[in-house]
Amino acid sequence: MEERTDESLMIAVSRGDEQAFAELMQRHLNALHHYASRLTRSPSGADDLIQETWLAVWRRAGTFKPRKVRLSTWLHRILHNRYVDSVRRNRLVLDEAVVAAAPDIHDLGEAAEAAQRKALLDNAIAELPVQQKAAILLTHQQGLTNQEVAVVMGLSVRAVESQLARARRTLKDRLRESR
Amino acid sequence: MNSPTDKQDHSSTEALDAELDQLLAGLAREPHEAPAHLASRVLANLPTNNPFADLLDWFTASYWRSAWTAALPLVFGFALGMTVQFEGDSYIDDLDMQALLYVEQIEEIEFDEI
Repeated sequence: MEERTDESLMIAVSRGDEQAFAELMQRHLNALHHYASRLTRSPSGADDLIQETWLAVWRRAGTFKPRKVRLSTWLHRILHNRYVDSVRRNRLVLDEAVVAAAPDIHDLGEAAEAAQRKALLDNAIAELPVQQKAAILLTHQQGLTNQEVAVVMGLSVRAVESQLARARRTLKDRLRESR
Repeated sequence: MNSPTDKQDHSSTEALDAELDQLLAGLAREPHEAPAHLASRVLANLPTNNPFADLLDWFTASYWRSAWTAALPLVFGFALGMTVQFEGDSYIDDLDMQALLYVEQIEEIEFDEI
């Protein structure tokens, strides 16, 4: 049987088709949850954000315009807006338990050192300002183009490039300090 | 012409850039799976197309639960007051009856007698 496209599923969702909605969720849930987990750094925060996002998708399915943006871009935009709102309301609390623990540098070994550098990057990304963090994650984790990131964040492409450049500078500084 | 220190700085910056690129590329390769319960949780919370069911959902939404809970003692007291007959009630009935009898007695008195 031919697989239905995201767009045809969205048309069905806008008519109240729960099965189509479940199929869409199955396709995009992991990627969105990955992004939400990195943004919030809290498992419960990520779950709540995902739930709010998908409920908004259900309610606003009729407003999706497939000719303008890809569905994944639209989904990321909804999630991003929800996240920014929750940060403004100070609703999300950083779960200290999920802050990556950096392995002891004296432990040595190539794998241990790589893990230590990765944990350092994870923590540095977590500490970035919201816009820079979102730009870095959307580009490098979610694989969106700068144009798509601009749509998600509601910025111009140049503003996105500027956020990315600032974020890279900060991350490089953190890596340099740890050497 | 670049000094040896400049060259060293340049190669150090390039190495840092390469390391950052490598680390950032690793972000996309991270394995990640959403919790298994999450999809069913979202589906369970979808609003229905039935306005009455939506209204019921609105009343039973989590932010109302505390208000309902706080009102429970009041509801309980009201229900208790409607169903349970207290001893005190019969006392009031007796008093009413006595008052009625007294009024009847007054009516029986002929004013001429006074």
